[in-house]
Amino acid sequence: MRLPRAGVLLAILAGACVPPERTTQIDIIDQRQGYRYPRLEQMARKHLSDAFVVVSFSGGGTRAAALSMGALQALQATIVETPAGAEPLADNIDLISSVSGGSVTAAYYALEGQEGLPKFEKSFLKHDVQGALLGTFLAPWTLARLATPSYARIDILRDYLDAHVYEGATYQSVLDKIAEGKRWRPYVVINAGDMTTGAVFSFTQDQFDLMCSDLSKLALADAVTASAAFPLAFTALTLKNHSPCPAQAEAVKQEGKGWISVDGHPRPVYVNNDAKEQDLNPARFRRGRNALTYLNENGRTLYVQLEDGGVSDNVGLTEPLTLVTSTNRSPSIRSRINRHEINRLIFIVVNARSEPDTSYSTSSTPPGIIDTILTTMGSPIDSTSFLLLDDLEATVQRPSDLKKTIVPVDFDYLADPECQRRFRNLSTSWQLKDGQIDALVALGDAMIRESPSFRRLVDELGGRIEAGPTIKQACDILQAVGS
Amino acid sequence: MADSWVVVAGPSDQDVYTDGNYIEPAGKTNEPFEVEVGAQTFALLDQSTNPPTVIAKTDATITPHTKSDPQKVELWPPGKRPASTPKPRRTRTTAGGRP
Repeated sequence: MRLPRAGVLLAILAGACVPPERTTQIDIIDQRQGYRYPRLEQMARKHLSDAFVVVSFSGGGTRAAALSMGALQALQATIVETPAGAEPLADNIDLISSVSGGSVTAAYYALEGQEGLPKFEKSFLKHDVQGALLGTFLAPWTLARLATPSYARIDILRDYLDAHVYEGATYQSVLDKIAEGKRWRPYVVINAGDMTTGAVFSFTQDQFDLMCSDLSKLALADAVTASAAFPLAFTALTLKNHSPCPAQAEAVKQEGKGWISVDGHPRPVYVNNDAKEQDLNPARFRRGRNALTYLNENGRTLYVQLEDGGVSDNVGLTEPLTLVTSTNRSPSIRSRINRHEINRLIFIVVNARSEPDTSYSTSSTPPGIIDTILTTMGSPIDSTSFLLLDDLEATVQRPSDLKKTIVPVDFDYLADPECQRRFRNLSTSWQLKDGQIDALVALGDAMIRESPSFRRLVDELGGRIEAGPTIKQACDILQAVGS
Repeated sequence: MADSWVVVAGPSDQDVYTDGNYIEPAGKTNEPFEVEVGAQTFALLDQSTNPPTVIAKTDATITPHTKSDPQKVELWPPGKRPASTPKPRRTRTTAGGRP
């Protein structure tokens, strides 16, 4: 009986040496199937149909996750008139685009909706996730697994989220919940950064079509972990690229699938067109060139290495801005404006950017190596965020016949400098004190309900905001806790 | 600015699809609408089939134009183009758009 046992052991060891693929090859490419906005629309309709509501959640660990939850609370407390009667604005969010810490909340909201938020607060926000991750990391069995290629530091976070937060849910689970409840749920786009191209990698079925992969079979924990894979703290998250594959070749044969053959390689028409005309539209050209890499036409993109989305765009605005300008991406906001289906565009931008106090400007000696590395990583993140916020203003304000509202939820907008300093000093980690969580949730909620632009919007929609926390109360809660 | 206005001349009140996004029409025929500048593929579809059937398609390079002076693109199913319609400039038909 020794040989069979040895065989089993060898098989286990061999399995332990194979990195997980995470992605599943897709059988058929179909714009009407999978986790896509038009598919969600087929399953359930939102009622405030003449307004497109976009919510973006930034990165920033638990600080961002809590601030995002507060924003969702405010939208739930905002009751607006729709053709089907008065209902919360939260029930009419079209799109949530998220990064890193904000993705933890966004994915949970996609799965469990507003009803799930109390459980989310308990199981994630007010749980010592950092301690749990560290405990797992230091366990002898984890150290042994980390010595194999099949397990990396990123898997500690991924396994934690999968087991304790999303409980094994996939994108298909989200579709199943919508089918079961027959109620509209926002389309959630989780964003990571591609280490090869440096561009934003959005977890959408359009993106997965390029990799010949089925997003509906991907675990939510995989997407969120990739989005939150902060460099140095975690390794990148690796996805197997299944392109090229028979489903892509088949899509070329049916013209109505939107794929063509270019030099014998299957390509979506939009990618092929985006990648032309470098001089006329450089931004579009870059999108096209990046997309081409996933088609693996040169046979060298076998895997995609993903890192924290904050490195490419820490406010989660890249994808929504593309949808405002482009008619070839889905859900195209531009197409809805063109067809006069929407007359109002609402952006709620939740940015949990921190700015910890430093002694750099009062010290005669240069910062240490760790401070230098962290600052070097943080500076481009912040500057990209500022540029995207400027882009948002310019892009959204331009169409003159559209009503637009941008509601920023950002510590920069706090009038009380001491309160602002306290919130900005909250660390970027997976563990904050319960009082700090309470303060962040209250602040996310209060900043929306006290925003002048939001109040104007609610008036225009003939709505009302139910009682809730004030910014002053949020500041007081944080002051009582101490930073 | 990377956006432009186009007007797609074709059968009246038809949905126009762009760049293989065959589920969300970008606009209507004979009404100006906005698209990104650069290469665009315009199509008319029969949505009663799955996948939809492409009944007319044309490629065009879109350059910056305004709403009051949109770039004109011709998009007609085979045999449906009116005899009086002049052939458009700067567009090349790849399928189904010949008079």
